[in-house]
Amino acid sequence: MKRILHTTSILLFILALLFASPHAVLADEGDGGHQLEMEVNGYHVTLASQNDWVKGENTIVVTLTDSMGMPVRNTEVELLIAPKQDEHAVAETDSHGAEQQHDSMPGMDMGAPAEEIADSISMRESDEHGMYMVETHLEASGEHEVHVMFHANGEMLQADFVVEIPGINSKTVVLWSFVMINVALVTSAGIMKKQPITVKGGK
Amino acid sequence: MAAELKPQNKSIFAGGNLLQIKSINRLMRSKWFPGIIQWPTLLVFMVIMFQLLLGPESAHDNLGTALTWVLWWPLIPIIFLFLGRFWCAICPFATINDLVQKWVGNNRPVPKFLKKYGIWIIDALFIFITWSDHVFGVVENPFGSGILMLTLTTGVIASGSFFERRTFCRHICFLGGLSGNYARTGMLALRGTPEICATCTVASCYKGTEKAPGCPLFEFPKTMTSNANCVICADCIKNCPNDSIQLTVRPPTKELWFIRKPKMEEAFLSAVIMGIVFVQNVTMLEVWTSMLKWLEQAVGTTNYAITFSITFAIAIIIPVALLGITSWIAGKFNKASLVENFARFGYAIIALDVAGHIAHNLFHLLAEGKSIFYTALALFGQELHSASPALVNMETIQILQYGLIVLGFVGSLYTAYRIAKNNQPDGKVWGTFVPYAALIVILTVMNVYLFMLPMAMRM
Repeated sequence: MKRILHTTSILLFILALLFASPHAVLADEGDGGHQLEMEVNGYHVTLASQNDWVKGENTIVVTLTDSMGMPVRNTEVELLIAPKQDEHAVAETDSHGAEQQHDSMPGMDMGAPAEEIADSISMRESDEHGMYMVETHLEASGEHEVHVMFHANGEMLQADFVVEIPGINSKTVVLWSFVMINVALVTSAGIMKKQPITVKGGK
Repeated sequence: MAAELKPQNKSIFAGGNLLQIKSINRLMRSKWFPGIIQWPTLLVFMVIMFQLLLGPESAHDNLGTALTWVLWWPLIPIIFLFLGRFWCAICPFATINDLVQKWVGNNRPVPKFLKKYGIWIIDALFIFITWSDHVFGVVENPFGSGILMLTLTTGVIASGSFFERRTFCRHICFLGGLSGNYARTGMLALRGTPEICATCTVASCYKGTEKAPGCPLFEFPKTMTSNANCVICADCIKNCPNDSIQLTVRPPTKELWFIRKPKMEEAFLSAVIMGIVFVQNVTMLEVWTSMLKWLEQAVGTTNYAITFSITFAIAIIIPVALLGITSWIAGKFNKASLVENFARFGYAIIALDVAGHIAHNLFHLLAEGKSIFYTALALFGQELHSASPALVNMETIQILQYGLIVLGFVGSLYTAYRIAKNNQPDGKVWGTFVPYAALIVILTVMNVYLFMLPMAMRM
């Protein structure tokens, strides 16, 4: 029975390691490739990347339909993409300048240029009615806020989405560091165990 | 021979052996004990780790945070009070240590410096971890809590890989140091029967047998006078061929009345814990913000690490200094040195430490207890955003807190009296006791005042 317990514990340990892998982190958090949807003042807005969301080049697709399900054509659509700030940084600051956008970005690569964060991107209407596209380069991984702004019936409307851009984040690096240290400790102990210990003064 | 010297059958309420009760005896001798509690604890620990490291980033929504800081941390001093250091027998870190040791353990002897300075290292680690919590936000940040757990896991893996038994638990674990001190107030005691142990030549309790390993914390029941390093794992009960081991119930704090070899580092830790309880309370008070602003102006910086470090140092120095001054005053009456009095009477504060610790954490347990249920429900997609996390109202919590402080006060006061009585000739008992009684009154008043002010939540 003790052997069963030990085997179970080994399996659980392996499971824990699997859960702790970066792949698991991304699978859990990622929205890459999925279509996000939202209703704004009766307008239906969808947001997607043509392929999976990636750090680097993305073709972003927005579709707009009205309350009757008819495509919204010939309107001006703009995107504003910014790495998501954590609540602490937002609470401490009260404006939306580029300086604070740099301030705190948990779990993602630091150093996305402020210009990229602040600029809005104009989208072009595709051949399909109500569908707007743009190619853009995302510098950082992690959670991003994507604001879709469009004109309808003379007013400016905005749909806010949060998108996870997969990539190696700082949490993953920390977790893997611990895994590596512990594996190194256990491995070196295993190697040293095999070597006979010489007793001082022994014959 | 040994059979003739069986422990006497006294009532368990009169200090009789709990192993007289068949069910307890069977449980303790069972090969499933303590594994039957140890393995589920490890499973829960894995869930906690998963939640802390990969679960919701907000402490408010994280089951790992709720289970660790709202349930486990408040319960742990209560466990120490009733069951001594039993938690350490089922602690998941200890289980990991044992597993690693079984697979790859080199079983080298404990390094000499750890034996010599172990408690000072524990003291330093305890201070450092509490400081880190405030400066880096360990408790309110699930990932930070996860990193603390991972650091401890790495510590036990290193210890289990290279050193014998539970070196980490005995000489390094900060919680082990705290539990060692608190377990002295505990109501459960494990000892060998002196008459039987005197005839023993095999020392199976220490060395181990095929039934169970030797004492994981390097204790030898034959000479044990304290429960500070006994985790009630029952290995010695299984191993003893003469049935010498006794498990008894004793009045809380009793062990503190008869410390044979008081240690400066343990007395220092008890004063430090008092300071840490102060700091934990002060930083959760609404008045803390204005105190911090005043301090920022006084030192000319808004750097929280600096301002908090100053507050932290002051809070720790206050009880240490008060104990030092009291020991100096008492020395005028009993002619003992300051260090001697400090080491001897530092133990008297432990009862108030435990009471303060339980009272502080009782707030989190009772005012935020339902958050454990809510965060667990959230795992299954059920959200209860506006529901109150409180188990009871604030008035009830405060009454319980004051009640605990009063019990701690009585425990500390009586302990100081007994220490004075056991160590001083008749004429000097009151001269020694009165300064310490005054100190305990001051510390109690400080505690009561802090518990009167409103506190912040953890979740």
